[in-house]
Amino acid sequence: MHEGTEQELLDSCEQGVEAALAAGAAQAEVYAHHERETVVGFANNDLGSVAVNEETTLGIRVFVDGRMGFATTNRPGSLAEVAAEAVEIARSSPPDDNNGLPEPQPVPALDPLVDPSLLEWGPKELADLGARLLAQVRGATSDRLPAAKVTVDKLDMGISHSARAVASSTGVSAAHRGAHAQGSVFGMALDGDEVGSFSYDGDAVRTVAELEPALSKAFGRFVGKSFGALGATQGSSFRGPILLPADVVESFLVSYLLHGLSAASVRKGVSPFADKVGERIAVPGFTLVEEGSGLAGHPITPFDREGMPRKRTVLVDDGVLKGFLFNSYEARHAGVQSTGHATGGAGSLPSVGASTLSVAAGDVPLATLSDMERGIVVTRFSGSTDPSSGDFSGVVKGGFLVEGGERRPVKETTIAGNLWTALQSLGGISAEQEVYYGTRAMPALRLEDVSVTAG
Amino acid sequence: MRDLLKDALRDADGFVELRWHAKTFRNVQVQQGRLEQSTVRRRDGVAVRVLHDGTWGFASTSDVTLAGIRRAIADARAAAIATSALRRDKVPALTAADLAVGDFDQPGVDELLARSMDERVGFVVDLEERARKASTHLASTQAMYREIFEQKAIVTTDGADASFRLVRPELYVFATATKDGQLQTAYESLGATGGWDCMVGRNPDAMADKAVKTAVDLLGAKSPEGGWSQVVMAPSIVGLLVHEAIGHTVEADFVQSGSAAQGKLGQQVASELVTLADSGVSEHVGGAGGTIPVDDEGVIAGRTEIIRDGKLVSYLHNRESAARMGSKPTGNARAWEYADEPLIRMRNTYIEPGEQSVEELIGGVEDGYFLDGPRNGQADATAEFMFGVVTARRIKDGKLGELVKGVTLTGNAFDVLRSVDGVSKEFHWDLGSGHCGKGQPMKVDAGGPFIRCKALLGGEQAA
Repeated sequence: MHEGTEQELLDSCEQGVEAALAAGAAQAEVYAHHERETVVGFANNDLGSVAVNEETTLGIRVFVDGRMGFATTNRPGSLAEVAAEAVEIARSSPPDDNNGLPEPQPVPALDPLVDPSLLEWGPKELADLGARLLAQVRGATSDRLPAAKVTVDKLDMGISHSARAVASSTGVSAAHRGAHAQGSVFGMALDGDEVGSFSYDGDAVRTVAELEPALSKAFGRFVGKSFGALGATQGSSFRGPILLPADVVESFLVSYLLHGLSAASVRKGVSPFADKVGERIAVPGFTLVEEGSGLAGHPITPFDREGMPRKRTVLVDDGVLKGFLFNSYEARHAGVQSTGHATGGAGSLPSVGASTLSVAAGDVPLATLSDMERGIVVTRFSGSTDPSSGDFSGVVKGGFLVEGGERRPVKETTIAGNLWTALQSLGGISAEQEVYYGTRAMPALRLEDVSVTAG
Repeated sequence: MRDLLKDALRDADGFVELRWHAKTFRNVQVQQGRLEQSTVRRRDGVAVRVLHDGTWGFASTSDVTLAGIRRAIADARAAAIATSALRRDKVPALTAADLAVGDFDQPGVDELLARSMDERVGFVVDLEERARKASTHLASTQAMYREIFEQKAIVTTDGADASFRLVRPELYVFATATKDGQLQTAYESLGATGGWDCMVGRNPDAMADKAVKTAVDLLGAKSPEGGWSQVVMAPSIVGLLVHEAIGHTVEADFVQSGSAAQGKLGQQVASELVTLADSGVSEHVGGAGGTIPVDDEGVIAGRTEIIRDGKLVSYLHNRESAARMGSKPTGNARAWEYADEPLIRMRNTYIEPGEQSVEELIGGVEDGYFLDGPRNGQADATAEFMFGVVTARRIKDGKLGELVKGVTLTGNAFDVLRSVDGVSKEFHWDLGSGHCGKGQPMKVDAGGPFIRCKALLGGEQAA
């Protein structure tokens, strides 16, 4: 990909808008994404395969008499056909008074987020680094179980260079280019005939200089979790606290909280927080922020899926609900301004969500939070959560029972409770906060009075 | 398209596999009387795999011309050459396989493609309205129709030369009931391989009614007591069991990494009542959602018996794992879209039906649960599984009783299968909606009869 790719992409978007208007649309928007990706995959502790992919995808959204249609293609040459198809889809859809495109707003300028050294890397450099990291993982040992080894089912290393652009008939026009590298590992530990529960970890960075240190750290966490899952025995059944390490907080709790804080969920009647703005929904000290154009030191593309400027939005402040996330449709429906949280890519309609998130660190050291008379450390949760009711139930994987000052791995242990009740009675928020994938900053959390059932 | 691919392979060195893969996704979604989405997504291109010096190289291109495909072959080969020195355990020579030659179009394609957008949209609007008007205790209702139209052509330098088209319609109805500030959600869904009539033949109106009734009933339901219990599983839960708990552990790539199925071929891993298979064909009942005639390596996708009368007899293979393990490829190499590499994935996974009726199975339970409606599921390397269940009814002295909510089931897959003491004669495919995740999504199906066994329920403990 070369400098100027984002401008060429923006030109394609503008051509698509013209094609859609010519096909009969009253309003049209085209969002485009171009990506060149190199991925080196290791499988079963050895090099697996090397993949090179490059593609441009364009999504055309049109409105005709208040009716919406959307079509997408990965063949830029077929823009006119796809635009006509989107118009046909709109004509067969019922109208909605709130349908329409946003008016343009100024988007802060941001240089391309591209480390030139990263662009010089190809399959060989990625494979060499992957092999070094694999050797580190495979060579790791456990003091507790000297004969145990970690086996890697899958380890992927990739570099992606991408450009995004969006243009609309109302005058929205934005484009940006960036590159990042990522790595992930999935596998488990073995000790003789014993197979431990699987674990995974990974990270993403923007520069070559950060890549090996970040992945070494992430893969080190993976090794710790894998060994920790060995020697698991039956636990005990009780009601008590559970500790969510920082890397579990989003998947266990925050993602479901965000579902309820989306204006779309409020409109659809499935948010448990619909009429609770200004009310306490969590303990004092719990603060959740959507960080707009990125965490400190980790900038992201400055515009959302609709080309609106991203805005930092405080969702929960010291336990009190402050508001919701909006795209332009939800904002129009609610009679407010968009908060710049339209999400999605060229292959889908804009929805509503978060791109970067932080939960503020608390004031309790992790060591203190972990000091439970009897409780469970949830290394990984495999279960079901109803995002409306907040009820959760599932299995703790690779987790630990903390009891009488001792900590031991347990198996076949299920936990059940309610997230919204737990938020209002959190036992503590750790003073330590970790950053993952450059877009998430989370502390550890302790939830109280959870049902624990041992097999 | 096969001619174009064969042209691109002319004069190719060594093993090269080309897959032209086109997918058109349609999605119509109505919630609370509003059309949330009516979209079409088209994506196609050619995937290339090259085997050089025992190392795979992969590339993909949306430039479906002779020049574009040849460039992608060169990219894939260059990637393999650049990294082959790092591969310790080279890919062995691929064993002979039952390679497909010809057209293998599946039924229902032209019939479904001939339906108008108006018909699709009108169908979903009406279904959501039916659900919304079915109760005064509803906070929200949603109906969603999804459709995949898939076309493939697969050509390899060692003789695969096949193409096919198929369609997979899916339907969902969600209902969220509310009372005194409480919210409970339930859903019904179906996913098939086949035309429009294949879908409407499964009574969508009854699905809508059931989703609403379940959501409303769950408002008054308590959580179960946690602990080991005798359970009767409906085919949807049997499907989750065979897919999550067994199927993933016998995928040969996971076996090679050390899954709990490693080294167990020939061992008794289940009750003798259990014969479990995975097939590209819709066995017993038509329209299964994971049906494929040919896999993405060009291998005919037949039936593979995994467990026979309780004994583990086979893993699921692609051409590489079959060559390594001295087995035959089983037609399980599948890729989600053109830019994805094929991985070992399931197709339609099931337990063979038995002799008893479901009434007999329930009648034999003194104290347990009847489980129906999959929420989600996950496998583990240890063969410990998890799945979420939408509805569970208490069974007391052989009779169905009150509804409980939020049930999660776990246990060791092989222990649960060894505890099976009843297999019904009824058979349903019931996991065709949604998708399996393993780095890439994949359409699968699973099911079978009703079965009776023991499992661990996650639930409430006394304060």
